[in-house]
Amino acid sequence: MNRPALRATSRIVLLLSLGFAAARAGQPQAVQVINMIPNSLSGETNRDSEPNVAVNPANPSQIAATAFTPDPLNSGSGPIFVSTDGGLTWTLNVVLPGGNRTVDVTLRFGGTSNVLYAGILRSDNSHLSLLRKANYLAAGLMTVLVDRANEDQPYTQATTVLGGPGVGLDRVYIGHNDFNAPAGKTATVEQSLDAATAAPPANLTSQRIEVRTTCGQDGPSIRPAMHADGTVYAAFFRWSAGCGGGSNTADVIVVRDNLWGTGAPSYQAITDGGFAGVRVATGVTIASLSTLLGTQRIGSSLSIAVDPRNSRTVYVAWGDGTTANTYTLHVRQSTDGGATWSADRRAIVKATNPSLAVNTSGRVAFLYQKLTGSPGSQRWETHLERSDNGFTTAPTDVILANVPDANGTYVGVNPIGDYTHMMAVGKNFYGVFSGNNTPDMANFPSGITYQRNVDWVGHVLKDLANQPVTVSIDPFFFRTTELAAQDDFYVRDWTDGPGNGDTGLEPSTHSVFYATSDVWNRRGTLPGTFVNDQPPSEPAGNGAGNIGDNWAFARIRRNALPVSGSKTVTAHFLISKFGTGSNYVDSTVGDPDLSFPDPDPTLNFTAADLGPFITTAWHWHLNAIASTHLCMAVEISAPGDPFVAPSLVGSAPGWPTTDLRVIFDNNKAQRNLSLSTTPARGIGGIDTYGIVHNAATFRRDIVLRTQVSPDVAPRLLGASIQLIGGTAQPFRPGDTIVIPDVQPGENRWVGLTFQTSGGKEGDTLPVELQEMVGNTPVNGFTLAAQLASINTVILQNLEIHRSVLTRLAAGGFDPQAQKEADAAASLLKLGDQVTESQYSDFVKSSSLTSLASRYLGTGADLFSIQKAISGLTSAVGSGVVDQVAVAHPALLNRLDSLVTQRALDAGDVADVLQMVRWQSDLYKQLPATLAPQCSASLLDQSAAFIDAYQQRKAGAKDYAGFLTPLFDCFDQTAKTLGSTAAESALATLEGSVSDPTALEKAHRAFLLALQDAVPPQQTTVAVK
Amino acid sequence: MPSERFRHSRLPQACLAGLLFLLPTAAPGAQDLDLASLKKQSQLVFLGTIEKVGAATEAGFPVDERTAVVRVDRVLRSTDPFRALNGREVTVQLSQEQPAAKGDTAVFFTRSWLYGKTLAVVEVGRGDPREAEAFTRKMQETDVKEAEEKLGGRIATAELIVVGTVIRVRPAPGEKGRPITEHDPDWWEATVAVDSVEKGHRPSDLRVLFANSTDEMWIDSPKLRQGLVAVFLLRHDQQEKGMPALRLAGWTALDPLDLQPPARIARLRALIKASR
Repeated sequence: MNRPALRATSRIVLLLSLGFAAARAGQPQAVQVINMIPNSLSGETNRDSEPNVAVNPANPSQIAATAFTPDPLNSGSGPIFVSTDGGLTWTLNVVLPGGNRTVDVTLRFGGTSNVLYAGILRSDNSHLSLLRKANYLAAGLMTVLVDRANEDQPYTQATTVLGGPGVGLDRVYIGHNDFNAPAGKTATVEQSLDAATAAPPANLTSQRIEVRTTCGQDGPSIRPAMHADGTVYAAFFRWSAGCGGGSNTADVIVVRDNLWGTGAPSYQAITDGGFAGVRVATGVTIASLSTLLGTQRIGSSLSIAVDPRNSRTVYVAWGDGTTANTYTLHVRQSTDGGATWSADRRAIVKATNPSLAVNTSGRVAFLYQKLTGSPGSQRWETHLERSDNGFTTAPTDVILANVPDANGTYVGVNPIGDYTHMMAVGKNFYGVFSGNNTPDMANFPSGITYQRNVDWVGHVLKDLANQPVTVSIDPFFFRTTELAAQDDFYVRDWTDGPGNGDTGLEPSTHSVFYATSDVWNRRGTLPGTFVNDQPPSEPAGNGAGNIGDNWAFARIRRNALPVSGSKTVTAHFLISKFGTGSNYVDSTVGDPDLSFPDPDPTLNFTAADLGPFITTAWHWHLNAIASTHLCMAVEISAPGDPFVAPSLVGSAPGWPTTDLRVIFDNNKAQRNLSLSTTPARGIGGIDTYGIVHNAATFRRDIVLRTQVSPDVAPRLLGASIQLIGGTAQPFRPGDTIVIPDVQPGENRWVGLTFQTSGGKEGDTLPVELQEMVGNTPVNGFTLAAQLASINTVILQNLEIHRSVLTRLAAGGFDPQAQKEADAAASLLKLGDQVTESQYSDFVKSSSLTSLASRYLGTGADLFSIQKAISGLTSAVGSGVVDQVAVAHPALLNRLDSLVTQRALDAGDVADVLQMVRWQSDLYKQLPATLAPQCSASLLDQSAAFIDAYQQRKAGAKDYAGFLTPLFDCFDQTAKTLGSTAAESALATLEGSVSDPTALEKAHRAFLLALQDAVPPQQTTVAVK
Repeated sequence: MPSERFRHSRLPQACLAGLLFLLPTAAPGAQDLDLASLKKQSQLVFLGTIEKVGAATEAGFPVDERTAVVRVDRVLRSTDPFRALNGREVTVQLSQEQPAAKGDTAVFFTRSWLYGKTLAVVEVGRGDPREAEAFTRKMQETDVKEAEEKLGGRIATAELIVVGTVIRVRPAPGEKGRPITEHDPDWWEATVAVDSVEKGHRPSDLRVLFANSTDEMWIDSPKLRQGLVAVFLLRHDQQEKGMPALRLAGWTALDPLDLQPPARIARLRALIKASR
């Protein structure tokens, strides 16, 4: 709303302002445009151009911006614009050292730190200074981190690491053209990996990103863009000719680094013709920097943005053309991390100042300023285009401003500035541009608000004394509302206490979202008693009957009340049933180890409801599988606010893939669950296994590190850890285990055995296994022993006995197995009345050991089942019930793991999506000479299936229908590659279409054969 | 709402409180303050009265116990846009050293901070309100003195000062290999016919480089045009402005003070003499 000055404005101005406000009342404002000049500066006539804007991702109501605006009191320092209400009103804060105004200035907030960073060219000595300030509103100048000469156009980007290595640290990347660089390779990114906390110069280092020869330098614009997974891109113009003046011949180059700019060597993850960096466009001609489009100089228009949903999707926009009349902005997209690029998705003639941004739902926005009209009556149209499909079809276009190309008293060549800026926070876009400030509503088709005094009827600016003010150039802020607050439903990622929790920010701000979210499990149908407003999650039960019965809950909120109407929110739960790398499954997958008998619960929000509301108990059942760690997630959807694809289904929990999907989508939440195990009094212990699954689409070594807290370590007696198939080794906290050469979809097992020194009931002794990347844990799972009374242990052992033998019987192994299960069930009916002697007698008379031996057969005894049989036999012979209570579940757990392993060996429908992704990656790697003609079609169909699966529109039931039409192509591929193994696997595949589990196994076997037949690749895929 | 009786009973106390606070904490007078130092630090000086402590004039301004709403009774020194602040409220972040209470009146020396609907400034010093006129007079005096000092500084560091006429301007011969940037000064060369040499040695052929660029980096630098008659304060191979890689060797006049009207020649000569 327009905000007239409280004291200074005349009555007529006040009335006119209110009239304007009334005209807009009640209208939905998808886009708001605000003239940023504060009311107290109503008399100013500066050229407030070349703007930049930074929204605080941790608090989007906090915004900072810049322009060529001087300090009105001539303090010798420069101001920035600040807003505390999301950009509706603006204030100047004098914080920039180096002169009353600043030449180039860009700025950005850290992701969660609230720290503001800036890169400037000082007007007093022309130096480049890099700055930071903890509180953007506070008085006082920003701290100078770096001050150097001969560097141009700093362009600042910043974020905070949300997970994985360096979590919590601010990362700052400032593109600049460094004339101090040797050999004319001037494109440079100045970066700091701990910018908020490190003492000046904050460990800032110069990364040279140009490796090719130039005509003497690169173009002025160097633009970095980061993804939360650590991918950093930078775009620049390599000038190959024209450094002597006049037009330049240039390549538009994009470089990439996969590890926050620390790759060895850095920014060389993609190559082109043997050089780091891919040429998006080659040999384009760019008009010299003195060329005018209207009254504005052009010649270095560049922008880059990366999709927060997928670091491999990146957009670049640039301008080229020999003359003003042919100067054209181009937009292209890459979906493979910058390795290859589309043709022009947009081409806008006679336009400049491009800015790109992508929001959390993948919507891409393109801001530019286009010159229209004839000389003498030319105008600048500022356009905002938005697309949900990467501009493959015509975008939605709104005109933010259509103002005269007239510049007041300024007569120079840079009236509106060399750049604009736009960024996305959550789903909304925030941007800034400069233009003529004539107060005419017709100039602002999307609406406009002025803070400075204006006479809207006479189209005249007024000063504080109500005297006319000549027009000039002002900065204009805009923001879009892609999802209205009343339509925004969310599940919290964290709650610290009553009144202090996640407000639905995207991305959310707490890195331990998986332990504090509003999705949780219970062993009964009640949601439990909240302590400190935090959901009381319980470990999941696994086993037959009510042992494996669990109920899921989610607490859902809405961001604002609507005017009217009700909305129904649907919660969809997912389970990742094993440890590291186990893909999420849901009710659509048909996983044999899980059942989901209930439909998705729904909640109705009336117009008076903000929530929070808790879903009804959602029943799910977990069979007796061997993992002691699993993850639960929820994806909520409401009309107008669906979850952001891709779904978690088919992907493994962990950093960075699904962690970022959860953090960046407030419709998703995740909680890690631990299963209780069965230790005994006095001499309790644990003998259990975790599964390690390679959820990637390439073979890799997986590195696990053991971790245990200092208070628990002394209580683990005789602990050993074993990679199944290898030798057990003493357990030492901090040791690493390398699981070598794990194929895509392959499962390996890690065993952990220890005795406890006893303790009180309820004590839990957890051991963490963390997946490592470098020196940092990026994922993990926990194996834990919980001390319990002997009665509790006996009952749990009987439950496991029943569960495992039921699994054996269900697999058609031996009818005796079912008799064993029934006997356990019969004894369990006595409940707490089961005596120690009854239990001992039951185990002694059981045929468990012989069944286990026969089930093991003559195959390799990877789980040391024979040793466990001996242990149980010995324990039974001792007559000591505690020993029996430890040895009994030890055999059951090993047997259960073997059952699970054999079940997974038969195929795993949880891996369907992974197999299709792997298939797609393999076909993309096929050299052109070996790729059959059908490859392109196969890739298209694979992409469509992946897309549908990730949107939960396809599942395992569609798997056979998807694969069958591809068999001919598979056959051609196998023949082209000369792979008899692939041909043989294809035959099995063709015979497996009736069973999704068998089909997955056969598909994997075919892909393994294909992988072996594909020649080694030049490019490697980074472990993420 | 307080009762009439209560309000009546409070009024004398409030006045008394004002007196009690004002007298023992009386701010220094014009003789006691280092005005030159204060003036360098402050851009807005005004006679004002504290209306609220722990408050600000706008919701968006940060507030702590040293933030005050102060009514501007009279602006004593400011830039043009804010000479009309009389009677308005501003936010002042009071210095830690000075006591503050509602009703205190003082001369506030402040530096710029926030500009919104209203202003917020940071106090750098405080003076006795009874000395407001003296402060104003002394600041005006120091304004003149400072301007002279600044000009004197340019004169002292100038290597050549001439009175002359620009007879021709043209793009300066470029140097190969200089970086291309939007902040290029766009060096032009003015040929100056020298009428008199006030400092330095008469050059045989005076060519003055100037930044013809209207880029933000150079917008304040003098643009020489044919026919211009001026006193030129020149330095050779300057090291003070622009990227080093973009500098050209030669005589330059890049600061607005480097061009002076010939009518000031007498004063300039005095300053030149004083600088020797």
